[in-house]
Amino acid sequence: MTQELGVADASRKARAVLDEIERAVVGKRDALTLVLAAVLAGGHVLLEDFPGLGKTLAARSFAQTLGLDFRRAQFTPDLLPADLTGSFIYDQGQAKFEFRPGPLFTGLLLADEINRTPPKTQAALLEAMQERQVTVEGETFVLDPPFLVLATANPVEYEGTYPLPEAQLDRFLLRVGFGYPDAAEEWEVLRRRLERQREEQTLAQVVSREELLAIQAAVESVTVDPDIGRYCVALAAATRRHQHTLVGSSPRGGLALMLVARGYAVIDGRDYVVPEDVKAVAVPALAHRITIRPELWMTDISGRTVVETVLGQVPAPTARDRV
Amino acid sequence: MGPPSPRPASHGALTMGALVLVLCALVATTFDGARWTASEDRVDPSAAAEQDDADRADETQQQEQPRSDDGGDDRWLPWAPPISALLLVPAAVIFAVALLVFARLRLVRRRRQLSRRIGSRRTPLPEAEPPPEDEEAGLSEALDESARMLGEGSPRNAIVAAWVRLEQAVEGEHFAHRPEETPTELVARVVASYRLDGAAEEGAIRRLAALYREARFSTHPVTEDHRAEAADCLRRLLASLRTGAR
Repeated sequence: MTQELGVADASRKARAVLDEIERAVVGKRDALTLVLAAVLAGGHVLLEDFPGLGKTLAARSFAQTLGLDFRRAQFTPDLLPADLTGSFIYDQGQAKFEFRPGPLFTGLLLADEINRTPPKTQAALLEAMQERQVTVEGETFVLDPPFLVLATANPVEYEGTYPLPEAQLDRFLLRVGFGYPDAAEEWEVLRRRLERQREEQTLAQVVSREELLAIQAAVESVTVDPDIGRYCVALAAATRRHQHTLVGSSPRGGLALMLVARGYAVIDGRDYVVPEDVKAVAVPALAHRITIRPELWMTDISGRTVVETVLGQVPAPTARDRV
Repeated sequence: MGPPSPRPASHGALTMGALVLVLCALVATTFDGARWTASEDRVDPSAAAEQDDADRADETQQQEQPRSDDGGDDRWLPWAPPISALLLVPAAVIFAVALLVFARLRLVRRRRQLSRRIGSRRTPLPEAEPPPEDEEAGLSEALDESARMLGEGSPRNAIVAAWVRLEQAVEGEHFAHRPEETPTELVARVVASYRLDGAAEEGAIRRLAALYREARFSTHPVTEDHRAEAADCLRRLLASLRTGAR
């Protein structure tokens, strides 16, 4: 049973989680806020960036602070779907087949280097991510909420990687990049390591699983003005009409925009969504759903630039028509 | 963390186009030349199939005639394109120039478009120069009117109406209306443009924007406290504007 939680309390707890994670991940408050907004919205996040920028550390820190059962699956080229979902094993003592659950049966799954495994295994995650259930040999097993996937990926230019198919990418509520830290932040990372005098970083648990579910319930109570909803739809639709896109964002992109904006509003301590929330989450929520025209592959044009252009064109909700 | 500006590789495309054009011209020239000699050869097999040996001997004699002429030409001008091919050259030049001009124009237009789009989003302070005095006087009037509107109707409607009046007031020749802008972005522009240096004034307008957002987008009750706070913000703004004018 989850207790009722006001938006103010939910916001306070969410910020406490961020403060705790920032002890491990230095100077990435904005990116961490986005990830937490997606987690509060009950979605999965893809952390995509170059190696060594703290993606795995961030994912582990979220698991520790959110008090979730945590499993890590290292995605390798020879990983098979059954390695994730689990499989039926013959029990000689009882003379029957018994289901042995795989790493998917957890609260937070860290799918490390998800683009190192072939599409077959990547696709095994699809059903789990979307339907929150797993089907093995015709039998369906429901995954306990909250089931979250934090996947990490290196950019596809690296050898030995399989770019995620569009359908799989669309399942991620957000794609967040951390980016390189500046010199001061980088020194801070080194300094903290010296201070700690050991490699591993352990964080305190800030909320329990039940509290996380309560915060997610509080996010569901956030008001979204119809004009804000229409703004999300207009942004997603505008990516489809943009001259540089081959395939724009699906309607799921507009939905993601609204859901993450709600989580973002709660972290900011509000029980209503404002256009600023939508703009803040638009790039990570939409950019990975956009396919750029193939003839532009050598240019700097990306999903990100398309979304940014669209943000500068679509009229934001206003009150002029109401006065 | 600014993203790179989107710029398709137009120079590459342009060079490519020019190269293709030159190749086309070359192919056209050689092709024309080849047909010129081939047309003579083509007479050969068809004639050979129909005519008997004597006739064929005759024809080879006839054929040798022009061929020896060819040989004579070759000595003086070893690579002479036909007149029709020579006519292609000016046509190709004109076409190439037209293509270059067209590509250039397109590039300039696209750059202008992109810079306008990106400029509106990433550099929100292009009109940082202060507006003229009479506009500031108009602003102070509008603030007065805004304060008056704040007293009318329900607190929610009053706050929204007061903000919209303020929005319309700051807009002018120096301050274009941008439909894609959120209140926060508008405030940032106003702060940069209207000499709102003091932290108090900046705080006042930010708080006013926050109150507007709450009144406009929330469904929880907006009370008289909110109205009073908005009125206080407006008063502070007005006071700072008047001292600034003096």
